[in-house]
Amino acid sequence: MDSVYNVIELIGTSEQSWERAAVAAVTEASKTVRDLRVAEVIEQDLLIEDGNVVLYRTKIRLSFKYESGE
Amino acid sequence: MIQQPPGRVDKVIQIVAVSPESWEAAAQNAVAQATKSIRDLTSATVVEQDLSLANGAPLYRIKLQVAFQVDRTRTDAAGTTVQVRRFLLVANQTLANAELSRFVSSTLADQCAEFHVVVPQNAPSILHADPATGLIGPSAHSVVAESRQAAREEGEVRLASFREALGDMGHAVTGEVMLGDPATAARSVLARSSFDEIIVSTLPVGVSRWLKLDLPSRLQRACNLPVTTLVQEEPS
Repeated sequence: MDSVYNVIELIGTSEQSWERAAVAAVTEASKTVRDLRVAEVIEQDLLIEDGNVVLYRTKIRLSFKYESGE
Repeated sequence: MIQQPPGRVDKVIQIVAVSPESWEAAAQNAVAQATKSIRDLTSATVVEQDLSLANGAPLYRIKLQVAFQVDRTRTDAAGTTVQVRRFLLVANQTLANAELSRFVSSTLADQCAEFHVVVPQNAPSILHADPATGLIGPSAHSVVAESRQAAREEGEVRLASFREALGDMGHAVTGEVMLGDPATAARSVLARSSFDEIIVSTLPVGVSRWLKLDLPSRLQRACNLPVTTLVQEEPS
């Protein structure tokens, strides 16, 4: 059977690490989306204030099966 | 992913740092080192991450693209936009002189200004031959490396105590130590960042090697900026 997938991008943040930032994004997505398979890290950056790293940010791409609701 | 307010101009450079612990620690190292010499670091984006496996244990390596402001527009504590005047201070032995920190402090208090300190340190780069054999052995390389390391550390100590002295007066300055001759050191900073004025702080005529080299005029010719020479007594 042919299938269709949704692809969304999310940015998660954490004060500790990029791993936690990614997990935060996935955790949030899993509240509203079923059957998450793979999350791909597409971008990571840092927020700097007064010369200190204050926030790790991870942008992830998530795909999940499109459900038409039928 | 990082936003930049309209009208602002940022310069972008790439830096690479390593850590035995994690990529996060490597990134923090990179940012900590960069903020020593660059003011107004605004963002850092990860370009590449890899592992170095040369010595058995993995070493986390990260390449960051960092951006910093190069224009003169700053936002002060009250949120209003101000224009700053940027000074390049070339100083080494006189950094320990209280008169110099007072001068910098009063300049910063009088006008909207920023100081970047470059500390040129003389370091040997010539390998000496072993007098017994007349050959340049491996020990000659390590002697040079050691004395270069010592010169850099000496400069770092001077710079750190100067920044501390200004910190006590409520001002922050950036700075860096450079090995080699003072004109080349200053020119390499000028090539990377833009300034409005150069201040050369040096020992009195007769003692000062920089005045013998005619450093102030050489800098003026090289960069076409106003150069002020401050002659300071040798710190006791």
